[in-house]
Amino acid sequence: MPRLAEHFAEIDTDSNGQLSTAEIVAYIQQRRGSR
Amino acid sequence: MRSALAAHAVLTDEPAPPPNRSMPANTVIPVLLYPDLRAAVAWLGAAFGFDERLRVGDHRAQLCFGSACIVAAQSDPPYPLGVNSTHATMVRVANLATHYRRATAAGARIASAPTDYAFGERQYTAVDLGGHVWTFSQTIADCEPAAWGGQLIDAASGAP
Repeated sequence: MPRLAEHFAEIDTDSNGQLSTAEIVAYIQQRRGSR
Repeated sequence: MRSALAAHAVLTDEPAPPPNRSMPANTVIPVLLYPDLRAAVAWLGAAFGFDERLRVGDHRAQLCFGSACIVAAQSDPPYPLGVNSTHATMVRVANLATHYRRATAAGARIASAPTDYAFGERQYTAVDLGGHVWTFSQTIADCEPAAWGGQLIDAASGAP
């Protein structure tokens, strides 16, 4: 898993400046697809 | 039970997903995240009787119990707020574009727009009002796992 800080803006989908668990899980799901 | 499920499927007007050898056959698929995937696969097999069906590199595995599968995925700590285990839910849909429009119209927060993947699925990921993560997936091809690097696991030996 890449370092989160390098992809902060991409992961922070509500742009509130904080990464929630849901945002990180969503990022994991979409990064290489889910199967 | 089977007839009740069949009747409900008719009521929801959602057809069964077409076959894709790279995907579990069930429509709703829990995705559980673990910091040590191989330890989790071994533990879920020993404790709960799950059999590994498909291995995706070192970061994902499909585990079957009876006719349904779950996905176990690697996720390295640290997690925010001290959370050390979490989950998502994957749902196979017939028409992703229609589903995406419905979700966005209803206010779902989109984490990733519809994207095509080499394993034969078109997917988007959204977050619901409770902060739960959902990935919706439409089959666009029936893909042999070996074509994109997946490894089917032999049920008898437990090896690829």
